[in-house]
Amino acid sequence: MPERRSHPRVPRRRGKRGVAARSHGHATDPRCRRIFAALSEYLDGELPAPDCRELERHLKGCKPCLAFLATLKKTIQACQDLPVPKVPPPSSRVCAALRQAAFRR
Amino acid sequence: MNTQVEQALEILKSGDPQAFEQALAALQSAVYSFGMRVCGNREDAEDTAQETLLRLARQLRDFPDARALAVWLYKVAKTQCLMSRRKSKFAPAHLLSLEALLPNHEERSSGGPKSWEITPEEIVLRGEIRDKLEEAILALPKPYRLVLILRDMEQLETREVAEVMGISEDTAKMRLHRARVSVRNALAKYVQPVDPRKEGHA
Repeated sequence: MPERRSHPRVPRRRGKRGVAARSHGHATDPRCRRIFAALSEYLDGELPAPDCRELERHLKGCKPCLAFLATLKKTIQACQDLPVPKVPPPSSRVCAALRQAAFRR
Repeated sequence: MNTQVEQALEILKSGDPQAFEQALAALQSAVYSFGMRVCGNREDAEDTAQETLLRLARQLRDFPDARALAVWLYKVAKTQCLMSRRKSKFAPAHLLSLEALLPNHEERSSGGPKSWEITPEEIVLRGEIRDKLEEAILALPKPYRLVLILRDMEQLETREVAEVMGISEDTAKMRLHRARVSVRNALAKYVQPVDPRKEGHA
């Protein structure tokens, strides 16, 4: 089964103003769903500027999306902060092979 | 790129005897930790470290710069992990659809996702939550788990992740997002949502 990006970009704003501020069914609202697909790129600073502005405009009026973004950010930070597991020393075979490779002239 | 790995490879390539032990320890640590995170068990992590570093010894001189060598090193480690003999007890082999990752029914029925009280530091420090986080990462299908580990734990750039995985940058970004959301959703079952009265101060 091929993998496809569901919503590669945040869509341009359409319709009347103030829609985002209206209460809506998060996860069923098409705006939320499109924003949802772009949140990682936004957090990584990899979302193009116009899409960023659109996303930020939506977030201002959508508490569930904002909360989701905050929890996603905490999750990523926790992954980054996970401690390194206890590491055994390299085997003598590895030491010898790398020593020979590094000092071979 | 993971700067520790790049620096260690630089030292090995320069043949500096003073810093050799330190560089070797850094590489063993990086490759073993990577194996441990991807495979979830010590035996596979040891095999990954051993095989990857032995191959490095054979090809140390074949790469013009340390960054290219680091990308190659992760590629070898990734392949070792994919060949690992012991199947992770989690590891389902399927694709993660974005549809299935939208905030689940419980979160929706309670008015949508809420912020969390817990900080990232607390997630890592509190043993039971950290275990859930590590379980959630190991429960990711390997193609997603590898991308998350390379990007968020090994600190590779998106284009480097794509290079290591042999996929496009767009696919790397898509997998990364789905992996992160999947882990976030798993954690959401165990963490306390912010008290609505305090919302805005968290």
